[in-house]
Amino acid sequence: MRVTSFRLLAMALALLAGGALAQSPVYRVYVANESSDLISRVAFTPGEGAVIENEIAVGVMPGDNDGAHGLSVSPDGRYWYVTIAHGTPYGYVWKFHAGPDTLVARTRLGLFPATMGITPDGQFMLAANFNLHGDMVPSDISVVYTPEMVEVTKVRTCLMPHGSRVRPDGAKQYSACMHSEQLVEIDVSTFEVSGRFGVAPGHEGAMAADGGGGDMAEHGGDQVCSPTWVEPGQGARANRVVYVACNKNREILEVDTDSWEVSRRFATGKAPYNLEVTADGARMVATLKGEQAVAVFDLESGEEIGRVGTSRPVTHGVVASPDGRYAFVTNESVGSVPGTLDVIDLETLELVATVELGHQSGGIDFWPGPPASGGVR
Amino acid sequence: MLRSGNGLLMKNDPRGRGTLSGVALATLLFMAGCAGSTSRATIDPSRPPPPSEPPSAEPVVQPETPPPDSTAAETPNTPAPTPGYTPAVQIGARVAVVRTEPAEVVVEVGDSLEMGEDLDLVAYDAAGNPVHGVRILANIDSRFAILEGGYVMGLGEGEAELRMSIQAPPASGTGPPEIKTFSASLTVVGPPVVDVEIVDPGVRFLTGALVRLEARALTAEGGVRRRVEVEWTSNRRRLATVDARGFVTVLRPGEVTISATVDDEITGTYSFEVKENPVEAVEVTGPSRGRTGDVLRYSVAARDAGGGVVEGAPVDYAVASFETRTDMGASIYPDGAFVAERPGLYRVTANVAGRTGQALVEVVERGMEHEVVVTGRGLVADRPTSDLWAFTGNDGRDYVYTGTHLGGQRMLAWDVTNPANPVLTDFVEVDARVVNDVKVNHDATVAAITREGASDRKNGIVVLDLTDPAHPVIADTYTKDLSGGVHNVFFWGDYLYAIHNGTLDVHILDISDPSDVEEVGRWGIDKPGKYLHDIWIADGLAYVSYWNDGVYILDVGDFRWGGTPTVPVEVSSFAYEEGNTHVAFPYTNADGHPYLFVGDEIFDCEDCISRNGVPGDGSRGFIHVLDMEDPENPREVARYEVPEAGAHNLWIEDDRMYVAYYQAGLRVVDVSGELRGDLYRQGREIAWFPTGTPDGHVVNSPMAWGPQPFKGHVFVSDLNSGLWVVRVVPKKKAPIS
Repeated sequence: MRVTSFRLLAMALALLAGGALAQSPVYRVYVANESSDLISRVAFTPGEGAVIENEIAVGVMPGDNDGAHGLSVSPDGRYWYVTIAHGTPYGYVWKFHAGPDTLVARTRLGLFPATMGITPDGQFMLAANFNLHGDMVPSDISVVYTPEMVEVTKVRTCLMPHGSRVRPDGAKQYSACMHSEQLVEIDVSTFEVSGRFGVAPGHEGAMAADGGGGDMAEHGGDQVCSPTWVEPGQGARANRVVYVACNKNREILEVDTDSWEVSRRFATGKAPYNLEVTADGARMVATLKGEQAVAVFDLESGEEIGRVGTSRPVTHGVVASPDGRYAFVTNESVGSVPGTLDVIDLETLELVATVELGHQSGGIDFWPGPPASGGVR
Repeated sequence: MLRSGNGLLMKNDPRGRGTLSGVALATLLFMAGCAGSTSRATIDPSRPPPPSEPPSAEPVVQPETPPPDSTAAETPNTPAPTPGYTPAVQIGARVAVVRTEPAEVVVEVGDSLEMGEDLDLVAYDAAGNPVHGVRILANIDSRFAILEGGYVMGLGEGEAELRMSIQAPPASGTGPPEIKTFSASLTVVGPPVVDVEIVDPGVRFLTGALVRLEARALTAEGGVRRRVEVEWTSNRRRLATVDARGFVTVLRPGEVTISATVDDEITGTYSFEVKENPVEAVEVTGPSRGRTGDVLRYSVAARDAGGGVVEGAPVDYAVASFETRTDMGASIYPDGAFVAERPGLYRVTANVAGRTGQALVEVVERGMEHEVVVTGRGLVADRPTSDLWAFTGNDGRDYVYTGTHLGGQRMLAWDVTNPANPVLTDFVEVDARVVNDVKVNHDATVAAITREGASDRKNGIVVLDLTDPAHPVIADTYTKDLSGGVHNVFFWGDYLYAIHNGTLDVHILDISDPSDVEEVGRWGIDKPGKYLHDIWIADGLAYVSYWNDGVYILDVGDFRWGGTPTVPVEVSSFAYEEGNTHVAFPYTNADGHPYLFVGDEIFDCEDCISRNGVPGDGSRGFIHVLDMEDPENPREVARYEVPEAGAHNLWIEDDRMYVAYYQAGLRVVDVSGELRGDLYRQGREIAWFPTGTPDGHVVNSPMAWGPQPFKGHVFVSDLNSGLWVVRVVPKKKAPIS
């Protein structure tokens, strides 16, 4: 673990200011730093900035980078989960008590477990096994029963599943297949694939649920979408639409999951990567991995209302505060330059805070905080 | 049944019969009630007794769609459904146990069982009746087997757990469904045995002798199945008996045939003639004095009444200590090799068919204590340090290149011509978070460094031109088919062998033109769950560390087995129970013993020092010593294990093994002569040095990564503190006043 004097100072300030901060709205996020095997818990206080509250080392291999990749907080805020992607060869998910940040359990998953979606009741965690190993073969979504941290099944989906998300009613889980040009839906009540949607440009449309998850070549076309993320709609569009980031085609698709049609398209900048829709469904934030920026969309009008540059390159993850006021964005950066967390005010569309984290900051989720902390829930 | 195509999902069927649809699942989503669909799944009145669990007090619901033609008895009590839960969840309340059918699940290594065809999962209620319509989720978490695409596949001989889960309403009746988990054991066996061979013990069967026989269960491919039960029998028990472990007690003269039977039908035999025991005296010959760790060879002459030597008499050795202590301190092996871990006086006894002889041996301390003297340091405090390579550059000066880790991005070039003062001359920065390995070719004209964690996730290797070794420059960046990251590399002639994290194969690159690298070959094992870590090449043989699959020895230019640098040929492999094979280093010592030193890297050790404050998160692992006299049949003969730490990289020169032992620092071990047993306990460790420092990246925390002896010094890289230059010198004795 690299502990800089800057971070020590920041942590000390956070502790000293704890009493005062308890009276202010405090927003907290957990961030996974993939090349540091380090988790950062960051507190942001409007007007005061962002500080690192805690750093938690993960991984067991000092001679290898274990690769903390995806991070998700349970809906009740009691736990957080991080996927340890690299493995030998199978990766893990680690479960921690949020707040004390103590390890609860570790569970082995598949090859390169990446992002996770958690059902609203917190019972099931569905992790996309991205599988960077060897020849492209269809991979799985691991289903973990979180009370006992038992992987109860793997659901075979497609090539390189990524961006696992569960829609608000908990009935369906979605993931994008980067090399199958598909969006895959899993019925959470049966853990079966219940829908597939092709996202290859010009060939968008429903596919047979029990169809293959093979190579994108079979879907034709010179252009590729290479979807990296699926984000379910919220608010009025909850449980009806999902948004798919076409990383290579510079657009986001809004897919109606009732009719299985593309209902809208959003042009973006270079390499849209992760998406976040605010809880009221009004706005969507897309990280633009290739532009060192985020794009903010008004989902009512369908217009991009702002593009905000980020502090470091390779912009990766994004989560919005439950009140929809702020977006928290991770930037991987390059090489030995540490990653950062940026806080973007979604009203003023300005970057309002930045804090330097570990290397390759990526997976992120919002933590409501302990009930007595005054944190924004 | 061999696996083919996608897995199959068995759907519930109102007739209580299973139908199969082509949905590919990683693990099986299984509907109980399918039992009865096939000959394997037919519900048998003589099925095993009902589950032993006590009857559930929970309300029981009737399945929404009971199978009308089910041969199973219906559950007599039918409680009301629990509102708010789907029928598939409600019916889970009735389930008391889930079992496999057949009850004993056995799969062969390399073979698979198709779920729903070869293996069914059946739910029962407390009365022992099948419960239909239950969704059963199945999974396996084991190194011996996996469940993938609807098939249970055997990876290696051993026991695995098949976990079966169902959803049910919670006991409180409110809240989310809970998962009930059940398990069944799964046995992975080796391939079928086609022949049994009893190894000739090479001794005469004399009355009064006890001789152990070894049975080898041979497979069709010519391999030997490891885990196998052998039934031993003697055709003339009055003359010789044999016990369940193959020990033959020789009683009376006559012809005897011993049989070893595997799987009730494959039998091998061994016949011998029992002779009256002529041995009247036993002479034990061997050294009377030695040091701890020395392998002392003993031999036996059995003599008859006339003083003649009785050839071929069976010998059992034993050793006893005259010391008063809890541990024996010495061992003697069946071949007469004695080695002591503790000084003292020992008695070596040889038993020849009931007659004994003995010899005394005095063992003294090995007395090779040395000390490590720090000559120089190259502190790296701003980032972790990884591997190193020391060499003499074309300018005649000496250099060490070091890699960096976890946000490192750089390879550092040190001029170490004056070892007391390593001078950082330059660094090469690449798009990577980990530059794990650094290697320089034989002519010191080209170096290769590995890349992991590139910002665009295209990793591969970077080739350096060493025209000016103090200031290496990038000649080529090669990423083709290596984007998953390269962890280690090794030069062999004009070729570079790259360990690719993605394919988990060895990629063979032609590097004769450093500015135009080209892949010319690839080699890897074909096993699910494989993991590749390292490669070392010497004298035309490559040693490939394949984690739980052990070390593989390849002919890449030795030519005895037909291999070439671009088309390697497997010579042999060696796997062991601990797994985690991390590194291998071949070495023939001054006495001509060819050994392979294999290091494993084990974490999640409950008894170890915690690195992250996580219980059981310390590193372990040790060095296995393999006898390579016959490269086709490596044999483990010794080990070196520091009890409180975990081994990492090693190097051997002049009969000294240098091991970077992570938190235990640099260890120096005498590996001269013949090696047997536990080298650490024998006092063969002659020096050690903790590579922690207050000014390190992590203060006072040794994390030794890799050693390399070079021109009388030992260069050591440490994750937390950078480069160390040390000398290993005899320990000075305190002056006598």
